[in-house]
Amino acid sequence: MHYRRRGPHVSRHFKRSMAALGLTLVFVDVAAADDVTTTISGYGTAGGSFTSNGAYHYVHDTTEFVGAGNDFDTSLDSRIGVQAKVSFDSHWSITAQEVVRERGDSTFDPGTEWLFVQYSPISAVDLRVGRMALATFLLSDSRNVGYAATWFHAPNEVYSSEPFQYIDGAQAKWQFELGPFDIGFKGAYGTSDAELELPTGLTDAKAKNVSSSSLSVQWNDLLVRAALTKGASPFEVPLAPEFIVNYILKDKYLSFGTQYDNGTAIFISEWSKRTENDVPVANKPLFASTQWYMAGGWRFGKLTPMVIYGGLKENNPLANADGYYGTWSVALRYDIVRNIALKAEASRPIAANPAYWVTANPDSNQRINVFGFGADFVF
Amino acid sequence: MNMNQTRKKPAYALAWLGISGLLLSSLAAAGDIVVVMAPGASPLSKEDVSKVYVGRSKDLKPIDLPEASPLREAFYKKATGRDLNQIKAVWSRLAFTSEGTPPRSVADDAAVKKAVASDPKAIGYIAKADVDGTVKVVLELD
Repeated sequence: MHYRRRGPHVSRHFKRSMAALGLTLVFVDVAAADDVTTTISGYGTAGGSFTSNGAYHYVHDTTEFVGAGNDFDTSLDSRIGVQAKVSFDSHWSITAQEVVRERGDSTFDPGTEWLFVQYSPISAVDLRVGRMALATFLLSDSRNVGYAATWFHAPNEVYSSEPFQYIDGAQAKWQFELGPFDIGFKGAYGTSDAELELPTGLTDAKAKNVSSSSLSVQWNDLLVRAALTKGASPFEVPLAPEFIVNYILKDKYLSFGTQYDNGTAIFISEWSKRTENDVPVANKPLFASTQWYMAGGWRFGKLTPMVIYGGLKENNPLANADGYYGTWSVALRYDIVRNIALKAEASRPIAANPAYWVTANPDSNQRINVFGFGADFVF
Repeated sequence: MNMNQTRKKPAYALAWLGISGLLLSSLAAAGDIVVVMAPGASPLSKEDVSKVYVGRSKDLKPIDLPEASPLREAFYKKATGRDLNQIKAVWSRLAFTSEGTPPRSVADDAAVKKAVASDPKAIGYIAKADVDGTVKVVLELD
């Protein structure tokens, strides 16, 4: 059973994009007239991936359903994002971020990743209303910004497991110092949506009561974060032909992440457990898994090699067989000029690993190579 | 063989002399950097300054010199232990998740002093030789 998100309705996203653009233009105009500051900036990736076996198509996560096969596929990894931030004073601002990338199917579509109003009564507190990234994992909110990362592909084990990528609602953040520690609390509440391709057809999955809360502690070069993300979305699950049960999927992700970076050595690790309520009749969760990875890198001037090991353990879910899948990856970042980083990455997941492929083969332990190359840039 | 080795030695010596000279001159340049704020500001630690320039503290408004300025490169290396590519990556993450706005760049040391002198929350770095009564040195980087 493969639950994959279809590409968004272009018209809907297009309207959103145009609305955001219109909003931006209005404020750019205001900026020229008043003391308002406007910052336009952007990022992108030009690159692609391929696999050593054309029968297996690599994807970043379950929201994509056309992957990279034997041929070097540039559409999966290439993307461009533009952000406009309008600050009215030190308290009020509006941020809009549009990203053009492949979504679900093989076409490039614009989409609004961020669009929110922020009010900061004091510098330690940010209140936001609008659309924000759903920060289920440590780096979920910057996953599109390749330039900010050492690797080319964010570890699939963890990052492929959450289909919902943004939250429409409100968010509060409070950050303060406590002795040598920087403490941050963040809480968000709202709704989300994703179009999924179910065996019963296209479903516009709507998640309600989406909440995400996190605590982060920074001490010198070490960051530790704990987060809990929940959501509830109704599904029709076909247990057998002509036998469909209604199911409200109550998804919960508990995740812990740590990042250490002293300027030379980099270490990043995350552990996450996804739990759900059981599907009626079947008495099993739809998806339930524990996933983690460890990544270590060392900077030699402009060159940063990194080794990554990721593990995925399925916890008796309905959708896939039980199993443990471990995967090694090596990545290389080369800061060729300021604002551009060249990347190369190779991973060796097995054909049965559900975190890597459009269609995994549960019966095969064959190792498949996934190669990715590209240039990440900011402007 | 022997002839070759003896001939190479002076070349190596010269090369090492050159490298040492470069290292010494860069250290000297780095030693000349001071962090400045408006008169009346209290001294800061290197950790305080580092936190502001890598976006971990929003209490102060950091001012940068242009990207091509050798002082900028030396300042980041001394204050944060990171080169400019790393700093760019750090701020990319903060900017595109709206967790921070990168430091504002101004043209030169005079512009830094002007920006700092007029705003008690602004902080900048300049060559020690350019310090005058309009600003207060809050940290000397050596």
